[in-house]
Amino acid sequence: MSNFILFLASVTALIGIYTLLTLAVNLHYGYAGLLSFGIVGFVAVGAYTYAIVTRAAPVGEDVYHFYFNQPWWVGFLAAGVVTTIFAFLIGLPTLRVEGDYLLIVTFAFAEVIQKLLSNEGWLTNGTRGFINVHQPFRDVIVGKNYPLFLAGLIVVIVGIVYLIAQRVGTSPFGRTLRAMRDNEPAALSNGKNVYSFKMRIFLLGAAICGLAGAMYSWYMTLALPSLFGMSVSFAAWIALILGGQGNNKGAVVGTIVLLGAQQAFKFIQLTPAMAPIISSIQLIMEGLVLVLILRFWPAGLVPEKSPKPPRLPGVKAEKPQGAKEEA
Amino acid sequence: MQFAVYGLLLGCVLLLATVGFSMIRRIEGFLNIAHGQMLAIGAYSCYVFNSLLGWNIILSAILAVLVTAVIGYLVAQVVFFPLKGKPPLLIAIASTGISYVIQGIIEILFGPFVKQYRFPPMRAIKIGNLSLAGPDQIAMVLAAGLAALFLHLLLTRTETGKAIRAMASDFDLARIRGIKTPRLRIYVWLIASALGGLAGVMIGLISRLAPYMGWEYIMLIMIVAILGGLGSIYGAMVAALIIGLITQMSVLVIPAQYSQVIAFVLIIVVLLIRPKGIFKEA
Repeated sequence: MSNFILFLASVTALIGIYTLLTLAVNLHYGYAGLLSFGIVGFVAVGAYTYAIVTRAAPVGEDVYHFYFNQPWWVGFLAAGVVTTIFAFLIGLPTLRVEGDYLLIVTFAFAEVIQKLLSNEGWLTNGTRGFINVHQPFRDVIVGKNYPLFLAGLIVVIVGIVYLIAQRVGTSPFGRTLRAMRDNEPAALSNGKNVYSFKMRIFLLGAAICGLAGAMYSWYMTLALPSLFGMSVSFAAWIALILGGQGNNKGAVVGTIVLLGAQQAFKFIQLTPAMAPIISSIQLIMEGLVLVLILRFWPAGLVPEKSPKPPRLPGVKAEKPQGAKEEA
Repeated sequence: MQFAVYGLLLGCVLLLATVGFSMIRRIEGFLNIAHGQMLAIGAYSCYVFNSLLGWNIILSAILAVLVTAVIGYLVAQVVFFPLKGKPPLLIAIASTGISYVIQGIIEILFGPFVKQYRFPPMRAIKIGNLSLAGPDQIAMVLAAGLAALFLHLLLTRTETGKAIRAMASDFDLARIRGIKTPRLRIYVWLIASALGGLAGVMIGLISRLAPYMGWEYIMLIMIVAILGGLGSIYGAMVAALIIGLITQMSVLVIPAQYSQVIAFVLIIVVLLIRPKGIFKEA
């Protein structure tokens, strides 16, 4: 029984981390229409920043030179900050031009980051990566309770980020983003600085990915280049399309369904010989789900609703005019 | 010198692959991530004919190109044609889904391990002490050049090509003027996939096959496409040779693992200076 609870805690933590990524993709694509494919690049930057900042001096065959030996919260904040800086550098040339460019450059960024992580041993310890990454409150909470605590901590952080994302979505800022997504010239002619809005939401989403990266390294207690392949980005994308773009509830639902299905798949592995076939079938299924949903059910499980108009003091509630947005 | 030859070869592969990618971008308006998988399909179907059935490599290559063209068209017919009119970014996501499906099928059929053609390495032609290129390599460059020339003549000299260009510049206007857009779209997908398949066969000849090869090359293809100006066919041709040569020649100065990093940095610089690519849209 206790094993089952541990398994549940581990799945919850993983789902929580992926929920953050899906929320970030939702901020980028669902709200602002930015197609950022390489969010895994930001996750990797976050995870490695956390690992390096909280790292102690190298031992044995470790080859890294930089370590700061800081407590976990410093590493956690640093992960967010450093990721934001990277995102700013990416956004600078790409957000001014068409959406296609952002797709390509973020995609390439993720690949390049993975290459750098494997090859820059002085900074990242190469393909050996970092093991025994420092976990928060590890020395206070011992033994089998720790996974439960970690799952709880991650759920709390996901809750906070969800509230922030929800607030962003319903705020004037979020309305501007949606206007921009649906009709960019109209938003521009209303005096909105489209570039600045795109940049801000891009940075926010990237920072969330960076924090998720740090949490991923708590969960795995590892930071390895091979953990940050493109499949992480695609999982978040599939989850978002599945759940429904443009609303945070959809992002959460989609992640739970997708990750739940992935975990359930793990039970099917009968023999070692079957394992590669099962993983290929999983690839095919994920691709098919994505295509079928886009083709037949483009709104996803939880369709986007246009938010209620803000209640202003002294103004009578009017009927919303943009009724067709409901469809 | 050897690096220049490899650079030229990679450039030719990228040229064939990116031209197809750019044609689809122009006609259909979306980034076809699944185009990388056309390379994989071409490479693996050539593997079937050459290594499993033991046929001549040239015959296998031609058959592989035909097979890829048909598969590419079928994918478009089943998946992309019904999605016409949806936002292009959404169709791009659908094409990643297709990439997954194709990669998974290849993995099931051929296993996750790296494969090679049954094709003996050829002796390089020597001038004095300088070893130049093998006859196979020269044949590949010639094939790529011929394919590019064929495409150029098709687009500029024939009725079909002119109609395709008209469709590329204004889809609705072309349709109103009585150009048969549905049939031309089929031609475009056939040609683009065939070129991708040829590029895949060439990859199989110069390196090896792996189920994930489609993903490896789609990134280079997209980088070339940006450098040449998205959707520009002639820009893509020149940009492919530039990227091919730069990534291979840079090995002389910096470690080989960084050739992709170089291409990436180049793209960021190009986007900062000339966001529409180095060539004007043709």
